[in-house]
Amino acid sequence: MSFFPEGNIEDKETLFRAIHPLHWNEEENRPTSALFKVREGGVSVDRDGERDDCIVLNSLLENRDGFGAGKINAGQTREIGTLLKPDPIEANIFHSLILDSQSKICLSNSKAKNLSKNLIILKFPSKM
Amino acid sequence: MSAECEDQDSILNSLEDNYYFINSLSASPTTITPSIYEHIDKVVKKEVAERTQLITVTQNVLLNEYADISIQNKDLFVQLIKNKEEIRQLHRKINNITRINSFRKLEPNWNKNNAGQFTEAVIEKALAFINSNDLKWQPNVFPTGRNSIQLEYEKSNSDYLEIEIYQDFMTLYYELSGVSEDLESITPIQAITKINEFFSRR
Repeated sequence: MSFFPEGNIEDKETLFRAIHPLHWNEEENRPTSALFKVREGGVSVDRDGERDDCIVLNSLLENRDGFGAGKINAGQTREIGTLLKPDPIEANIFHSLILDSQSKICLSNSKAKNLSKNLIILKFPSKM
Repeated sequence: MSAECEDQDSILNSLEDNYYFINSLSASPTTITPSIYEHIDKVVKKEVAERTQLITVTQNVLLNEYADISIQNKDLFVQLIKNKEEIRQLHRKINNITRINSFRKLEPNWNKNNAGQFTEAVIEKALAFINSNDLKWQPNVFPTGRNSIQLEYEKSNSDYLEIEIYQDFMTLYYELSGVSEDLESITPIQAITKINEFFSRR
């Protein structure tokens, strides 16, 4: 199978999100839901694109010193009530977005919290 | 019991938690020789001096920080520091104030997801909330990518409460015993009431 950057995101796909060190809750040892709160465009994630986790991580964390990373299943993300949108860009054909809904970009607090709960941590961010 | 023995007992009692010393002591406490006694005396005096200095330094730092955060009533502060939990909360408050102030240094796109720089208004609003005398429980503080500052509380039973402070409004979201609610506009007083209710639940 080959990957189509513009193609619909299937439920079985995996989405990867970089974690800024300020978005790590040291006391609870988990990411904060603030990780999924952005002001415009939507929450940037990378699709797996049939790549191994290690390859995705290397690409995702390039130029992101100190960041950690986590992954979440696309179907699970939809069950939370979010909208997934492929958004390939020149520098990254795997780039896509998590939006609140068709008419709203910013995620509600509950959706952001649910995403943070379901994120599987692959790499911890550096301590601040 | 002789006065010297009483002194030795009190010295040993004060060293109960000093595992560094216990580990280095070659003789048992029941066979203390004058040279060991002298050594203990030195260690205790040194430790007491260091601890006293540390407490003084900590109190001075707290007092200065307290002045920096514009709360003038130092008598009240002195009363507050007598309570252990209040000291802990005061430390958390100082850390939170330092952390929020550090958000000023975040540059555009700091999260690599189009975040803007924090406005002075939202920083000041978050500082005022954290610095409120009515706020008894200090949260964990996080910057968001939408020019808001998030305050989080979580209990060991997974009950959760978060407040998001924007320039012009505040939101509150909580999960209590599996039931959640998202309040899209809340005043600081209402938020503090919710926090107090959150911590009064068992």
